[in-house]
Amino acid sequence: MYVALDDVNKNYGDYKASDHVSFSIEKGKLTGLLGPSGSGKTTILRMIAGLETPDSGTISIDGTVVNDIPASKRGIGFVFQNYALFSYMSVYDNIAFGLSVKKVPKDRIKSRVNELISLVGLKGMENRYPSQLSGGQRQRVAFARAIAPGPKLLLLDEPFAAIDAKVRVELRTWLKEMIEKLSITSIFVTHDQDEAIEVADQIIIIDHGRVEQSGTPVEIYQQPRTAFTASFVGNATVIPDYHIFSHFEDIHGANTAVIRPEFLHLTRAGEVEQFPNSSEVGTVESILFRGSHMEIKVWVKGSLLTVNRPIEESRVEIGEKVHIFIYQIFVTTRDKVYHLKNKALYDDSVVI
Amino acid sequence: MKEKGNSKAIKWLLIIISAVFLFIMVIMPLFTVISGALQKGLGFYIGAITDKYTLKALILTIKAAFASVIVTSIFGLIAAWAVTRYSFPGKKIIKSIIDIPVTISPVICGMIFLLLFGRQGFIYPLLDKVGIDVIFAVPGIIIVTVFVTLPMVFREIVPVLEARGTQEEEAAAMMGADGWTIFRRVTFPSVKWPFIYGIILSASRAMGEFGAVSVISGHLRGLTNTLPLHIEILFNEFNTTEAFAVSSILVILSIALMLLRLLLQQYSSRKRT
Repeated sequence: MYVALDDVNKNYGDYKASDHVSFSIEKGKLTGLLGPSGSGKTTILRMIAGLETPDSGTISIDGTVVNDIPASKRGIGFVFQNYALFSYMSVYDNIAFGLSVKKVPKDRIKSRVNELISLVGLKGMENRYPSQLSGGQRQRVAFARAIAPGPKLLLLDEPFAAIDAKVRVELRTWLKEMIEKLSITSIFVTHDQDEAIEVADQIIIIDHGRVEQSGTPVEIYQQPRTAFTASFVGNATVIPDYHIFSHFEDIHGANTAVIRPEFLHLTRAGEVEQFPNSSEVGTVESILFRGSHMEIKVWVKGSLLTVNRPIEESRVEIGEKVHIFIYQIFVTTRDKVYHLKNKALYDDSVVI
Repeated sequence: MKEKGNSKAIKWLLIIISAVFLFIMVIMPLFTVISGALQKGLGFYIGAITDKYTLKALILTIKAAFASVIVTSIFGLIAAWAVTRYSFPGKKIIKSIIDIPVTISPVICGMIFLLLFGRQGFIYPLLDKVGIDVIFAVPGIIIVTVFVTLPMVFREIVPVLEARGTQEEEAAAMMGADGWTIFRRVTFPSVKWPFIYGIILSASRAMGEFGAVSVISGHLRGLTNTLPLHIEILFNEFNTTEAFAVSSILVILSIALMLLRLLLQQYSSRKRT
């Protein structure tokens, strides 16, 4: 394991920023720390960097415990949320800073910086100042600056938060490619699950300073292991008591369930329905055009469920009575998630 | 169209009001100083400004201004760094205390130091033993001048440092830079212009200081008289022309500092864009 945290705790007064945090990261992997804002993910990143000190527990990088090694000696590249470019230095000087601090000879700095400038695609902008760059260009400079001294580990704090939506998607792909190309172990922090799922090899879900779950994006999405993960990932609707839907197995002591749009199918009156007897009846509350599909909110037995409907299919109307078939749900207890399928899917007697 | 005409009229009205005010309040007095200084001819003017006591007062004024610039810039940088880069109990109190010299009347500043260092003051026996005169002497003048200009540099730098936050410094530290390198290459460039501006402000303030210096100096001609005090004495002795002539020195120095500031500002803004 390349980076390992073992039982790390950090408190700010009464506030538990890190609560028995343990996880490990493989060499060369791109890991995303995903959690809502205030979940403590940035604190974890800053402790790995050495910008914060844990109250207890150990952090090791490449087999060495780094708790007592200052940030400047850890050999880590860090990309800050707002990039923290040196505003009084040109693009060239920004990227050269780490090397010049290390007293690398001028000609070697020059060749390295020029190499990085063309790598990140900023040729011709060497003499510009950060204030003269767009958000995306600033991020590229911040990235080049962080990797210039050849760090073994790269940390990125909300790398895409300060960029507008269109460029963000483009930069995600770019960053993933860059990191793969350089095969540098990287950890980034994000509150955006799409970003984590798209970019990361491994996702670690953080909430209230605790690690909720760690795994590949597919595992996190399809097999949530905690109530928090189930409700945080995906476009989840939380149902206080799933027993109102009668077609699911009864789990003793469990009431709460999580339903995602892809668990549901909407059928209008007159359309062919696969499981008419196991469907619920709902009333359309709102319809949102999402480009590739319609996002429809439907009241079903007192719960407002979200269901997607392909744009090619006939339009539903607000107030219309529709049938909703629930394929599956995640039933959650405090520390367990049950993945339940609708009985109609395996009970022959119900099928038409 | 009517609205446009209206706003145009308002624009010119505002400009004219400002110009008239500036003329009455600033330009006219300045002109009076210069014309007053020259009313007995250039020869008299040169005589007045090269008078032995005038020159001594000028030198003392520059000394006090120089000392206060040195102290306020060093103190300003250190205190601004401490207040914006560390959190400690009493930080807010310190930030308010630093403002005291500008908020209380200079005469009171002078009296405070008179009481502190004077014969009744508890520091007096100590100073007396070492043989240092503070009251009615040059050290006293320098001390009160430093006191009244103390927050000048600090006040200019702190908002800039606060607005910038610590991320750039953290970034530099992550790349292995030591404290001095971070200060020299990352922090100082960002406060350079406010710093210079603060220095110019405190220099102008120090040269013009009257109240505090007046209380503590004892008005010893040729020994503890600064230019403002010297002007007052000349004026009280009905040597109006000489008073104006000496005043013109201060006016010229202030204008020179102002021009320097303007020049630096232009230079800095050209460099940034």
